[in-house]
Amino acid sequence: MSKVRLVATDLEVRYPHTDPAAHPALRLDHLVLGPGQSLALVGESGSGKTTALRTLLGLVKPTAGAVTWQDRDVGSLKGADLRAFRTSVQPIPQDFDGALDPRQQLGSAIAEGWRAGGRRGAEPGEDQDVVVLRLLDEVGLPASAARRHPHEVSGGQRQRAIIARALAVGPKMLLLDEPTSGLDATVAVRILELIERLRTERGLGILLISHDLGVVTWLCTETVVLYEGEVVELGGTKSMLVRPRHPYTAALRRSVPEFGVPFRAPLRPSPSASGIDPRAGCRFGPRCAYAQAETCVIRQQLIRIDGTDVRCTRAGDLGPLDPLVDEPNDQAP
Amino acid sequence: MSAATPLLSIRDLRVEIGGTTLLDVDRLDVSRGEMVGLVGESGAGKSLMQAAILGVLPSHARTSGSIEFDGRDLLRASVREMRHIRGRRIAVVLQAARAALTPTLRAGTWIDRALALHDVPKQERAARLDHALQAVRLQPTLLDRYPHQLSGGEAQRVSIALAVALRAELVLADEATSALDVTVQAEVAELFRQLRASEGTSFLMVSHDLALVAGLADRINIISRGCIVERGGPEVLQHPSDEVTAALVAAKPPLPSSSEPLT
Repeated sequence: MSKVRLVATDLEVRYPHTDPAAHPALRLDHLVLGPGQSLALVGESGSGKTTALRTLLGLVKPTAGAVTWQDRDVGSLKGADLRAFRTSVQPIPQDFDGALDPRQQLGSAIAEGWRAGGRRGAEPGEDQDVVVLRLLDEVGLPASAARRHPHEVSGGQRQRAIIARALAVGPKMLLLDEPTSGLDATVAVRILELIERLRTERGLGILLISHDLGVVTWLCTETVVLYEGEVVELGGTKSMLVRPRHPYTAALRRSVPEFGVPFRAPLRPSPSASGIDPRAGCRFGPRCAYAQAETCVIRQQLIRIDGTDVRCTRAGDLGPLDPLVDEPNDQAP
Repeated sequence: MSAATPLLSIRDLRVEIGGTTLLDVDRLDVSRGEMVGLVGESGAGKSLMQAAILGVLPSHARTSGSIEFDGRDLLRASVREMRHIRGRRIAVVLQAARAALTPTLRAGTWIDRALALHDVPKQERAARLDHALQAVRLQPTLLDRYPHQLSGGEAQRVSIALAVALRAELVLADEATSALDVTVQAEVAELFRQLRASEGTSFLMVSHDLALVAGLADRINIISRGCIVERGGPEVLQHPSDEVTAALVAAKPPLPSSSEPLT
């Protein structure tokens, strides 16, 4: 029996019509998502988070490497196998307002998902309406929501309806792109609780894209930090945020406003005079406070330190960083 | 104008729509060069307050009280007067940075037209724009781009550059950093602090990110169900007495701290 897991190996994605000399949109060395696991992808806009998600869903063909589902290459799946993959790995899109048909009642949308997914998960004798009610209940929506149109419910309720529709096909993995952005904190935390409950009760694998490190800490035990399409750090979420190894992870952590912590100067936005060419050497080099011309001019490889993968030749010398302390040459022009 | 008189002074402001009182604010002041935070959950009245300040409330809204800006009551200002103040002396920086720009205009053209609209003479515009670009640290080449060619952070800088070029005295920042990456958010927040120091700009920062506001503002006003329920220094946000706001603080998933054991 092949293992239920989503694996990416030596993945490289280049979009057509882009400069072949430029670095690829995404390079993902290794990623495994199994049932009940929770993994976060973090990084700033343009770092490759959404490209990673789309590639894992088989919507973007990698230019090198492969995504496998139950040990089979997703790119080669056809017919019933492809349908089985699509139902097993369900995306929850970022734009949840646009993900529902404005003219379709929520119950009808969920029922459509259930029929399209092969009417899975119904108890004997259960008809469509019963399944819809059960799914609504599972995501914390009242039965009356079935007859509502998307505009008649709140943003949080729309997000719950989309999750119910994804559950209707009987998925094994949920791939969520910023599931709580645009929601009030009090509403967002209820959605996070729902996702966590689905992980523990249904044993779903959870892949989360988020720029909110608080959300990531809450939901995911493991985190991948992306910078300009490359993994710069991969490891346990908590240890990574308390004692980051990569200077970029430390900078991300420092950027989050916190009570009682004085506002800190952000990361340098533009290339500094570090003398590092990001095309040949470290991509983060031009913005890195720890950059050294001698060591950082070469292409950086992932190295493993204390169970964490770090793409920084200096990581060993630097040791774990303290994200609450200002960086060494922070005040440099 | 003495330094002691606030630039913006709201007194007993009530806004009623359809017989319901949606805003009932006894007092809110913003002094020159001051950064004041206005926080509260969705529906508390944050946006309505800004609409009242800008004179863009729905026409069937009934208002009472006063909103004094530099000694002039905005609730009683004429359309012509408001046109002179809105956008120019009181600038707005919105959450949807790119949507705030005109999609069919290059960023530079957009700023230039806004300056022209606000009667800045043509010979003065280039100098104002240069100064503004420097103040917000924006590459002049970005002015040739259309909004869809700008990143969220860049678009936000263009919006802020316009406020600087118009020499706005008060900036209403409505969730101005909420849609940005954390690193970019920190940059824009830092930019607000610099503008306040270099241009003496006052800010009314409206946000639901309490920690961000606590880190930036001199004074905080917590709004709940249309009323200011608590005011004070940044520390009031950590343990607000209002239960709705306390829920907002509690709802924010915390980051791991170095004091807790790693598992």
